[in-house]
Amino acid sequence: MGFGLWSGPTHYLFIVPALAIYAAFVLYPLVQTLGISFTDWDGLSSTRDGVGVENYRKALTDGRLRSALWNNLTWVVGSWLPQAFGLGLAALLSANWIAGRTAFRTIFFLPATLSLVVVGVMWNAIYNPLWGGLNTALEAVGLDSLTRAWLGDQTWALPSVINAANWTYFGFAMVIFLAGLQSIDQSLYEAAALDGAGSWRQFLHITVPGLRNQINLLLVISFINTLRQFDLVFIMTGGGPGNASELIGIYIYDLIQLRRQVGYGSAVAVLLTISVLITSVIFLKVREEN
Amino acid sequence: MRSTKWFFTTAVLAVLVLLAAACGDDDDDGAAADAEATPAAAPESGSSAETSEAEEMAEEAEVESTEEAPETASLTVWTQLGDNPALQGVLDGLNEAFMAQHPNISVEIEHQTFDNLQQTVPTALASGAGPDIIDFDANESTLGALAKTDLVIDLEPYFAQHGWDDQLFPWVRERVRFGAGPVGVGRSNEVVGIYYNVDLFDELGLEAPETYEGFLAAADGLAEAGVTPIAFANLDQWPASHFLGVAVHASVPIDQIGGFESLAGSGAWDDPAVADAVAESVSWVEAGYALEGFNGLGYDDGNAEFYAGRAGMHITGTWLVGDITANMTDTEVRFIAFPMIDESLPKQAEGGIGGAWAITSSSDSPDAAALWIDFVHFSDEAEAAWVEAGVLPTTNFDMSTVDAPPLLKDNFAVLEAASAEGGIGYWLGFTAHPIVSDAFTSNSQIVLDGSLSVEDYVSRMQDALVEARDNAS
Repeated sequence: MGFGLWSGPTHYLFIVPALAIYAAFVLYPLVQTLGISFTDWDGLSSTRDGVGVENYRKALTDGRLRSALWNNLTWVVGSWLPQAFGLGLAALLSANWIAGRTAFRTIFFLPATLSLVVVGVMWNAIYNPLWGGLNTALEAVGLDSLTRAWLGDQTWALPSVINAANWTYFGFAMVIFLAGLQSIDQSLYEAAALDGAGSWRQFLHITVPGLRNQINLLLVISFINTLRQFDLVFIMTGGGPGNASELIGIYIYDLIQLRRQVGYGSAVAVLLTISVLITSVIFLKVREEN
Repeated sequence: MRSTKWFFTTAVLAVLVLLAAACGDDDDDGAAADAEATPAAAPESGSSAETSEAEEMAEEAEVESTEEAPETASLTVWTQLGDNPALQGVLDGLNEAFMAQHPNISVEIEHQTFDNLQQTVPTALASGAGPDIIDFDANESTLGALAKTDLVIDLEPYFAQHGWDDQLFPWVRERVRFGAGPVGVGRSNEVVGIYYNVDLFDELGLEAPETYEGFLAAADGLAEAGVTPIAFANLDQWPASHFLGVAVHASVPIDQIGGFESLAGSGAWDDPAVADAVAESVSWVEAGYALEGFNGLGYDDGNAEFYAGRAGMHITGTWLVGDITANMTDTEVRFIAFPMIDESLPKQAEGGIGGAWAITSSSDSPDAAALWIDFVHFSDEAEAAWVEAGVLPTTNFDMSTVDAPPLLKDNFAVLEAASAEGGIGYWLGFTAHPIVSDAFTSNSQIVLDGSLSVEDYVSRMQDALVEARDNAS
């Protein structure tokens, strides 16, 4: 009955290549970053002096890091909007009475396929205070008082970038929810309708619980993506004005690439990685228990 | 079951041992690479016998470059011309001419953007790899940092061998020394001043902004006519270096500016004279001289406003000569020095070296690299090509011998006048150290939009300078 060569411990040999690649390209850089985080390396010198946990102690009192973390958390909350929007769209596009559903799905998903560089450049143009589409549209409907330099305004710079990111994300959320909707037993809706439940109650009590796995998945993905977000802010504002839209990713980049505080930047990167890991594990545990 | 566990454990341990070995090698490898790089860093002509030979060669006015060439060499060059196709063409053409003259030397050029180069060069060189020649920013915080970590070589022997000392402006020679011999050859000179739309000024009856009062009067006149006075846009953050820089260079002596634009200096950002100059620039914004929403507009947006005649003046530098010439073919534009605010000071201007050729320690062929620099920068053919493309020379090259763009001649006049009097200053906020530059880019946006007081601004800049000095020491 046995499979000979394939049934004994030998089959573990097959994981070695994959494990070796994982170790070389994931574990090794991680260990290296961890090692550098305990030094004062500037990225140029051939020597690295150990500083113990000084970099980690410094991180705990770094006001700029706290500000960047707060911006990241703001973004996490902001990323829930496109998920809710995607859920609404998915529910709408699953209705049989809507004509051209495939075309709508394609159109709504399109932003998710664009490179973030393209998205950044495009939204920079939309937000341009001199000739951008947003200010022009506001002026056209008599809302001149709302026009502003969106990316140059300390209050509005971060929400403006989050909005651009959300534009790329809602289509992805919609597709995930559409896939989830197909797995919900239609007889539940029929039974609910017979019991007198309207569309809204059906949505709340059948659709949303039926999509809990998809909701959890999207929350985890968006949380991780949001904490490591870099591209859009780098392209659109560079973290400014001041540090108003600076995220941890941008701060780490500044520390390592610009300020040449590679040791300290690595410590912040390690803290970010640990935070993402712990939060993700907790989130998944809670999800499994529920 | 037991054997399964044993085998699995062994496999995982094997991978971890490999991993540990790789990690453990890291520092040793770095040291080994450095050890290997150091001898290679010393040019072959660096020995005493060869140096005297080089000096003899320098005394001979004309030396056929082919005689100095090594047998064979393969060079890699990284430039910062990635976003300047016109200058890429100039260098690529010169490179072809060089290789035609030196068939034993092959040279491959990789054009990168300025930002990209700042990031890739330190990493590549620190790993013992990287190109033979770099076109790098020539500040204490950039090329100076590479020099202090021995990632670029001392070019003193080549200065003597090729006679570069005799050709470069004295201050250009000094700007590439960071406590030792020169480590770069200034590739271009750049100066910051005012481009102004002459046709627009004539139409509105405005005088050229040759004095500070004249500048303010012109700005007021443009604003009254519904034209933005200054095409200032600062979403990219670095343009503030020029907007604030001209006021600082028009108010504070060059030596004092050098004192806080240097880690070795003892100058301070929070000196009252510096604060007053910053306040002067802030007052231009308060008076409505800058583009509306300037912190949300990119440098190119500001340029476009100037090209279209919707802004009358543009405070920027030599690098825009080509674009202005190409985009304002039917409009007369002039470039003049930013007028001195403190007229008791001699004329001085913000500016510096636009980039510098440097030879890396990892180069196996520093002699060939020096020969290449000598050709693409100092040969008459190269000098003429660069000037015609709108690049201000760093040498005593006679610009009247070539067809230089008129705006470039204006730039040269400003450079020459400032050099003859107070001097060419520094790239404000970008000279001393990246920590200072980081503080400058973020805080300049908010001091200019009025959300940070000038006092807090100079205080934050001074804190950054102190932190940088502490780190350096």
